[in-house]
Amino acid sequence: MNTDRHGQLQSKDLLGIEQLSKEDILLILDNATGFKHVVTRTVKKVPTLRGKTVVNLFFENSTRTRTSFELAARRLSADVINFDVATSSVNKGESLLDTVETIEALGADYVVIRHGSSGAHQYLGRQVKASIINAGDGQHEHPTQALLDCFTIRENKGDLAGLKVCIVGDILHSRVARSNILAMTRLGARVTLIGPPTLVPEGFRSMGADIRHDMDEGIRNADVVYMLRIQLERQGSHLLPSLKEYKQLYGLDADRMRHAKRDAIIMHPGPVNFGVELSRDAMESPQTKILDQVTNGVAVRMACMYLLRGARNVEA
Amino acid sequence: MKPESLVIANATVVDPSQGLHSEMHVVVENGVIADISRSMPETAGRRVVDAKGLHLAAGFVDLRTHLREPGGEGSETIESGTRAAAAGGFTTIHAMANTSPVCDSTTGVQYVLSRAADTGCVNVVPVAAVTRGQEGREMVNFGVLRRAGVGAFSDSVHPVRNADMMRRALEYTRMVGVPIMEHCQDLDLAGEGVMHEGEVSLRLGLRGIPRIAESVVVARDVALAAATGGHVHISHVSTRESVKAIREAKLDGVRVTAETTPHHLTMTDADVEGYNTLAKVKPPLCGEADRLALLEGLEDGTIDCIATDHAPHPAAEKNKVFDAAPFGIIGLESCFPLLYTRFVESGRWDLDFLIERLTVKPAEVVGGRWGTLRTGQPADMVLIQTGVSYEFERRHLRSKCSNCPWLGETFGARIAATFVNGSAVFVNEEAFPKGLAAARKEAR
Repeated sequence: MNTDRHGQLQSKDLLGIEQLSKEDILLILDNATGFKHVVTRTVKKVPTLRGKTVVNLFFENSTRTRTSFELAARRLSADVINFDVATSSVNKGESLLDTVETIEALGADYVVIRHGSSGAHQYLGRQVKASIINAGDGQHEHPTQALLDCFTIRENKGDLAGLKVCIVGDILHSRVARSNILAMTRLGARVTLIGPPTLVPEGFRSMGADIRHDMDEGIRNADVVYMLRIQLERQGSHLLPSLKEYKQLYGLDADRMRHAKRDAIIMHPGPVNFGVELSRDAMESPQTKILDQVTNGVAVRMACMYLLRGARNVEA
Repeated sequence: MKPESLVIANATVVDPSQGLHSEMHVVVENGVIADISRSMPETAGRRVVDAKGLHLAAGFVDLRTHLREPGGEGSETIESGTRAAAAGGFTTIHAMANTSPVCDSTTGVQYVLSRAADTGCVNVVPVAAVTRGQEGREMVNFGVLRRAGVGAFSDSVHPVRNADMMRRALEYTRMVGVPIMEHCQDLDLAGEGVMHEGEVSLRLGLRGIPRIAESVVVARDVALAAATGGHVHISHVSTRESVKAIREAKLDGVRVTAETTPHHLTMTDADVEGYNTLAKVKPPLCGEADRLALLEGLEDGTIDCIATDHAPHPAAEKNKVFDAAPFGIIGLESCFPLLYTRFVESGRWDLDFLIERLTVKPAEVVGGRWGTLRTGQPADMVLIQTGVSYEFERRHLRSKCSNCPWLGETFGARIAATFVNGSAVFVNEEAFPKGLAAARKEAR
């Protein structure tokens, strides 16, 4: 790793993109570039967080995100514990705060949490000393996802300023979308949200995004087409008639991709519903950067842990 | 045993029910207002409270108070809730039926009345459920419960979901002579929402309750009231569409009355920012345009009165993630000083208007005798001190709970003392540092 940056974030917690300035985001992305060199070389480990303990506490299952955080922590030489919520007393009436205080008392320096309630991390961050890292709170934010997405776009397109990014799908229920709208607009991208009115309410304009309901028209001249995973349980609800209709109106295939710029890239936070939001041909296109996103996730999460206030053992 | 006779001397009497606003003396005999006049009455043998510089009004009437007893004594009891009422200048409060068990029977009504007589310090009027168990299926015994002392009927925190049930209830209660108070919220539209659906909820990723969840039920209820001639009272109005629907119905002569709350008059969904559970309430705090429409509705008479919807929840319950925290705000102690500071001190209202909306107007909704200082009425009175400035703190609360979003705010008025049937049930030591006795003086 060859970074001479000794910048640091002001906060002990990574709660959301909301709390990060443009400079903070760029600091994380620049550091992630250095960490990407680490994770792509033969010896993939640095001693930065030796002696520190990272606890993964996932109230919603997500093997991908948890594994990514685990790898990031291990490559910084931290000790990692995956706290199994399913078999813990959390389900025996112990409160969220009690659980996190217990984990903190065991010596955790970082607690990486995914929780189904929006604002859970702000609530915890106020009350515990450990660094709280948000790995997803309800429908609110998923900041490391947005950071790795911005990192991936930067890798492919350079600066985000002036780029047209289309986010397609169930924006209403998506923490990935919220964090990305915040991060991308902060970096100067123009964000267009695409989907049916029930899943893309007008109120999102107040976050600085444009809204389109017609996919072909919406992705015209796009530099990035970011497809969200459609939750299968949405079909037949009050919000979406069927997956068949959704696929026809908003599914992305190679043919539809021609409306975007020729060098546009396709992204997706995973896991993909093949044949629903993304067709096989679109998935296999060289424009698709989904595996890059996964690789970059580790580097970006390393950068986040490295940069949080009070994180490092020895300051340079 | 006869209560002594008392003179409240030199107070500025503000009684909108009689159009009074001047310095007067009030004589209380046997707990009843015996005389109110500009000349000093005979004071020999009477206790005299010199209230020079204070305002005297009829005690406030709250149409919506959650006392939690029976079943929720950890949050509030009739004793603590009535103490909170007295500290806020309320002398008559309407106890909501959502206790455990639900107040839907004569036994339940008698329990509230007997506990109030034994432990309470202000008048407590039970509000019984409209349907047994608030389950929306079977009517309660409206006539029997009215005779047992019920002041109104309400399924409290639930709407009467079935339109036919609401129709029949309004038809039936027409002969009973008390209103049905409705918590207007379409449960399908409200869904699992935890705050007002709008830009703030979208940004915070919290599930929204759309504004129409209230107004579609208001529209239904005023149509049913029009068709039946029954009296529907819309509780805690929160949106501009509801105000419009009520205004139009009143113009058409429908028997509809309405209230709004101190929090809906002073707060918006922006107060939820930071996942502030103290601002989590039903109906949810809406936008600024709604708040302004509520003010206008209150001012033009569309909304008859102010009710606190005092809803105590322990700190341990409120200090949870937003989704898990209960809905509710306590309002008895803060209601008057808050509204005085925001709207009277700022010059938007005169004191008479605020007092009218807290006394005679809510009393009229339920056909109560309270809210006036007319001679012959029970001496339920409040002394008010204005022109002060202090920080509202936990020590000003008498409720068992402190889920009050205005702690730390600077207020410009305080309740100095509260009387029920001529007896002091609250004396504010900040207004009377040496007690009421020091303010008493013998006749010249």
